[in-house]
Amino acid sequence: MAESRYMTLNMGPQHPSTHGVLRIVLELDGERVVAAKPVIGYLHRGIEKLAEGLTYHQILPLTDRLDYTACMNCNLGYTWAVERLLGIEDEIPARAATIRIIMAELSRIGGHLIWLGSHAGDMGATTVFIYAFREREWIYELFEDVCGQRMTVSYPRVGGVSQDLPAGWIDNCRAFCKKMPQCVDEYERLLTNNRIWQARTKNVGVLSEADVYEWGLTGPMARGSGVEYDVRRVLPYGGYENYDFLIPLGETGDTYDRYLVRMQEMRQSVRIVEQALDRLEEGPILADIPRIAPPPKVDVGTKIEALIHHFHLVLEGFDTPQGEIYFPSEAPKGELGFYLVSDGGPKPYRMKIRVPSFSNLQSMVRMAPGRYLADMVTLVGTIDICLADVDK
Amino acid sequence: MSEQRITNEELKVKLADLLPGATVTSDLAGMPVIAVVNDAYVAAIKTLRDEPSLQFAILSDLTGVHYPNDPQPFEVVVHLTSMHLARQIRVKVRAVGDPPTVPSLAAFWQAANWHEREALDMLGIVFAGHPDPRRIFLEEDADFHPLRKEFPTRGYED
Repeated sequence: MAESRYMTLNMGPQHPSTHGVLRIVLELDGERVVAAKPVIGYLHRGIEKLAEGLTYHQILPLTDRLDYTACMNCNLGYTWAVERLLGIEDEIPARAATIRIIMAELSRIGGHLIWLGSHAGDMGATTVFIYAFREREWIYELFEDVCGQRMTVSYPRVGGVSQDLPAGWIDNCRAFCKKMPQCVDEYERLLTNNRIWQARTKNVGVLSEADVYEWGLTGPMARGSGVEYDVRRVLPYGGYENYDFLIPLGETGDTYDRYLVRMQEMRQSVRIVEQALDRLEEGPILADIPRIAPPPKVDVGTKIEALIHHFHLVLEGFDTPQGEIYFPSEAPKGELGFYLVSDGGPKPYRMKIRVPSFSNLQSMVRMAPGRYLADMVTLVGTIDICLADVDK
Repeated sequence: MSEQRITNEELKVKLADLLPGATVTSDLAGMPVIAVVNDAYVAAIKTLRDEPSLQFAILSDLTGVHYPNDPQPFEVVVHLTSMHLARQIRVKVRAVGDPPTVPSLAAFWQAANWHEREALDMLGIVFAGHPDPRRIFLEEDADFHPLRKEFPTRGYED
């Protein structure tokens, strides 16, 4: 066997900084990384295959299990996609559409907070983790108040949302919006001008604009390198064209820029939530399409007709137009796309999920060579992966 | 972002002009769908990516669909995004031969590498010229492709 001067090291699949089961095969020249190959699939659950055997309402809880740090965005991406397939995008009641925007943006903040806490924690700044999880807890309480679930929410429905906002929820959400920018200030005081943080993140994992196109990067991974690709702006959906928000961009495309982009995005999400709260009007929360949208939950518990209707919609489903659609939405990690092929029946013929983490993780191959081994923890963090999202 | 607002209908006319031999249709939501034959696939992708008036520079997604009753049962479906036009399109090509084969796009985008490995893993579509044709999710010695229609959801063994 030929002598190799490089050492091969498996980082993972059970390494505390990979947040899930990711293995990276490293070729090391001393402390320097020569090549890095991510090995994935440890969490593959075959969600696309399972979906082919389920009706459209039954698939919804599976989407929670994609990016479980931002379930609401995955739920919404799916329901929006099914509504586009059915051609009922314009029939979603205004109140439901506004609630969805609120939930999507709260979930985005929650997703970014998990990223911030774990990313900083991985690099030794453990205080940030405690701070970030304090506000994340508030978001999860808001979710729990509205639908009884913290993480796997399954809150939206095809045709609207499952439950209306409870009394006092809007005031609690407004209090959150008032507090959150101050909390972001607080995180930034810990990190933005911190010399250790800057030394660990500046000029680490630099991606150029050309790299963004080459590797198919989306979300903060693209915007950190100055590519203004935000699905909410480029291909607006769900009413985002009516909201005023900025798209933060980075300049050098390093880990520090992506950090700044995500911090600014949390502030912008708060702005969107505030605008949505101002616009929230009274009205129904589910479209009046009995063939598709489930009956109100209160009726299901009290009226036999509604209960039968509910069972029928979930178990037998509804017919769909024969054909196909692709629906992209902006999840915290990037473009979440659902490609649905329908043969006209109540179950998808094929459902392909374009998950953001999958494409973004591949850029590890580009970023790692030439860095030190210790930087691998930074690089895993800056991509903001969720392995459940990568592996489907 | 140099955004040019162009309707899907205008885009379809333009695509039909630039890609002779391709069939341009719309999906349920009006997204342009370009169907090309296997031999014209790479050239069509190159035109879509490099033509200055199109600039479909982002490979958003690449996947496959199995239609077991068709003479060429495996279809590769590519979604491309143009920031320039603020539009997405779909390109479809059927895999030919046994094993079903389609040229690889890995020379155009590094991003294609993993997407094509996924289609190989899940459907058994071979991408000619792929630099690293290994399974991506399943174990390397698996002898099945789960997204093929004949594969039972519960698997062949527990």
